[in-house]
Amino acid sequence: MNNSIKKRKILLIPLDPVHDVALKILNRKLQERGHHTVLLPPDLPLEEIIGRASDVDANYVLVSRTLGYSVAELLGKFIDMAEAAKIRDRAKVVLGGKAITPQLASELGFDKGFGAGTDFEEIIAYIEDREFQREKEKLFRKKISIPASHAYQYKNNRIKNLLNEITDEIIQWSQRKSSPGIERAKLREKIINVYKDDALTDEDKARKIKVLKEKYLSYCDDKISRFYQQGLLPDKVRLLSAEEINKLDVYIQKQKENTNFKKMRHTQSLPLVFVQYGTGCPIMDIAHIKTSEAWGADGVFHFDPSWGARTEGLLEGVLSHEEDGSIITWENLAKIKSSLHKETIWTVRAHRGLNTPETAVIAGKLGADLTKIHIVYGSLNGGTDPARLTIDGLEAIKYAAKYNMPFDEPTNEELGGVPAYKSFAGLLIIADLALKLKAQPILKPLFCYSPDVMITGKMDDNYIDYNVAKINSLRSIIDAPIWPGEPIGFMTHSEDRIQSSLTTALHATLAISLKVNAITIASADEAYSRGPISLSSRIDTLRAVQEVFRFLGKAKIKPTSKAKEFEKEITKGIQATLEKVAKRGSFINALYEGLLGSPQDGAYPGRAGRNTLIEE
Amino acid sequence: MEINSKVIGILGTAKNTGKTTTANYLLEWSNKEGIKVGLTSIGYDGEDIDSITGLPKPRIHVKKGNLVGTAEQCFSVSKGKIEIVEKTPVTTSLGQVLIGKVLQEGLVILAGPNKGKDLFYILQKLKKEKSQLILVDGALNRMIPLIHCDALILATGASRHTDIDLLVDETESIIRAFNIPLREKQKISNQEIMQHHNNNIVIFQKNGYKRQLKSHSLISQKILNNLIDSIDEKETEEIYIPGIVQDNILKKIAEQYSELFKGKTILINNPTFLLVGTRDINHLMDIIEDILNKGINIKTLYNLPILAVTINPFYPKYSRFGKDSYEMAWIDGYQLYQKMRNRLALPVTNIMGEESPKLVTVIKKFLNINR
Repeated sequence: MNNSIKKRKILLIPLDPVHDVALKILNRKLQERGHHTVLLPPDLPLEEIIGRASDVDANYVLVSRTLGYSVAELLGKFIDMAEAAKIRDRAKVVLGGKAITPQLASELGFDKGFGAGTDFEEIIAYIEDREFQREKEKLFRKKISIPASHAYQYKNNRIKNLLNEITDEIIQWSQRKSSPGIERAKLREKIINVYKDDALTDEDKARKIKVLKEKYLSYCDDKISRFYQQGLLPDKVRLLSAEEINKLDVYIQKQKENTNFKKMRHTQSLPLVFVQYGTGCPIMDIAHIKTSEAWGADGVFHFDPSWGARTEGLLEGVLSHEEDGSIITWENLAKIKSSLHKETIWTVRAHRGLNTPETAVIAGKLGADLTKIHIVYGSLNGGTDPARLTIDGLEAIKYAAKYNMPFDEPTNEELGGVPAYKSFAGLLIIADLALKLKAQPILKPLFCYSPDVMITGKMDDNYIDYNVAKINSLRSIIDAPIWPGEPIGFMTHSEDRIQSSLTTALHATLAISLKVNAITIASADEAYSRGPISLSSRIDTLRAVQEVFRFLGKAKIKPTSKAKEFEKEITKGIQATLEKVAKRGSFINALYEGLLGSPQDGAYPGRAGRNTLIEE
Repeated sequence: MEINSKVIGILGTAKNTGKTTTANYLLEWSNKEGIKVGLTSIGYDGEDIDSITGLPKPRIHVKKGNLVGTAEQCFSVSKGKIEIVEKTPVTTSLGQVLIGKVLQEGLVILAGPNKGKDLFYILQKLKKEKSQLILVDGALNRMIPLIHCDALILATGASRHTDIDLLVDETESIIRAFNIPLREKQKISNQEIMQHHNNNIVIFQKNGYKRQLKSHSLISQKILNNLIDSIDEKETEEIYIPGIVQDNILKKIAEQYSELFKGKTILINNPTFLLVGTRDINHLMDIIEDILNKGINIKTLYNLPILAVTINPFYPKYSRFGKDSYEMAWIDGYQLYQKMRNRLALPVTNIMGEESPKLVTVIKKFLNINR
């Protein structure tokens, strides 16, 4: 296969007292490709190097050197001597080292410079006179369909039958019911269709959209109507100026041109690594996205402000917001979408509030890859009325299926205190519902130090056994994608960035060992940022997780025998919970009555959107 | 087409010795005088911040009509309107070198040819565009490519050494090397030697015979031994070393083999090939004197004059405990100037000081401008 390559003669010179590892690696790789190489020992005097180089009739002379005090002059002298000794008549002289840039190579007079982050392949391509394709980058930055490798086959028949019974009841109950959220979603879909219809004139579009918007406002809260009618924005919200947007576009363009991507995984193909953004401002969000992409994140997801979930209707425009969570508007999401690398997986969470179906429509129309919907969590810990969110959630799942967006279900009620088995019962109900609606659910158990395990002492010895048990329990029930969240290590983080990065990395190690599909990682300051998270903290955990991929390779973490006990316990608990729900005969009532998480556990049925269902 | 342009190279002894400031001074002066100027660099110049020390660097301000030879990637970041006149096959780590003409004044970044052969090519191109004066900004302590200039200005200063006496000795030594006389016209011409004997050390005998060594540079005891074995005490007339000549080998010749070499001529290609092999430049003049005193000749096939010396008292001081790695520092500029002026026969200019009429006079004379 290497026969077509022109064989080169290459002299490798470690011009450094100690560091010659990179050249040794390069030497091996060049030899493997059939090139003739001569590697000099490190730290020879210049005259001797030049003497030896004169004897080797090389095509390429590769010099490695770390920069330090007065090293520039040393390299300047070397290049002069190489020229005076006629070495440059025949050979290209190349410099490599951590601080080397093309500018520095030019100043030092070398033909080419390779700095930090250079792939050995890049140097080999240069020597073989080939264009360097970042082949590997193309391989490792590739959008992967998370559900693709899963058949959604049940492995536990008893649970399968219980779920079937429960979800049939939900679908039956939902017939001929609608809500303001669903009506807005329908109108939003129509508005977008008009907007995108090239057959219409601008005037026609404006006229049609005006009519649809008037209807839309009839389903909105005052807070939203005031904006459309009087131009009043809610507190702490402002429109970005044309100049700001312009500069943002320039920034996006520059980032797209300049980004080199770090490889996150080592020899593994899973899990994918996600980060969440939601700084409040699309500019900061985009900076986080571009940074995360560059440092190896596979996907990013959008999270919205909590008040957005309790407000009927969505605003418009490129909006900034002085609180956690970035406001969902068509324009905000479109701007963010425009910044994404084409292989970045984009998730827009619709999941828990009064705008769930409408968000799913916007995400779908903008080409989001994934969304997030969870009726049980949204009802019990997200503040939305169970009946309303069941209706809205069902509709959102249908949109997710229509726009081909798999969706994840975060079991965040565990953070309120609901035991894992109960939250898993809810998780499986929604997953089964999704499968009936031809959608693709992704199970999202938490890797967390939850109130329940604190009380019951299940993690008194380690964080491994119980997390392993959770994953294995779900795997024993159904073959579905699993994505621990959100973020991993929830409630194990502290204000200390190193501690935070470490605990994230350790939980990532467990996730790698378990070969789950994806993980979401927090920035090192996410739990305690007291404002927007910082980029350096963002990079902390991306680097830390990259390091554990390297550390673990295909090795595994071995849990203690406790894990098996916990797994059985969880599976038994799931089954018992589902039996109770099935027996109750009404999913909605089961939610209100605490069968999937009670006030004693720490779950409270939400009130937002109560009594707003529309009977058709 | 007949070209009558002159090329001045700025040769530095280290980084931050004032090469670009000197080039800027000459550029500004030429623009004022209405001299058509071409500009290139063998390194990377004109950026605001130094890539190693992080300290500010002089920018290069070009005027309408100036010609530049700089790499492709510098064209896009240069602030000024420059029209591409020609794309040359000369490459650098920042892309192909392009010849450009300034249409609208502004700041330019220069990254030009990095070796002699390439510089020669770019100079031909700049000459073709009818530059009267071409300035070649040096880089660091690099000197070999600058041999293709017609004359040099030597830039040195505190960045090379903070010890003023050492600096003066060294400067004198460099000038001494450039004062090695040219080989006079003989049966075999200098041109012929350069063309036919540039890859090996050659020993020319009185009877017309030649002996070749395998090496081209005189850089080790082993090569010196080979040379000694090949020299015929009576017959050998000239010894041509086309590559590097190392100072300590010369020293050995003077100290241990002077009888053998007596009356013979050590012929170097040009003074930079001697300077580049020298470890302690400040001692080089003593070695040359010792050689000559022992009755050994030393001559060069090619040479070019140093017109003037510019000095810079500034240096980047390594600050071990500071926030940044380097900070700005200065030595006593007045003392440096006085000591240099007292010792050197050439005009000396403190580039951080006032204008030097002497520098201008010397340049005018070189360019044949009488006003």
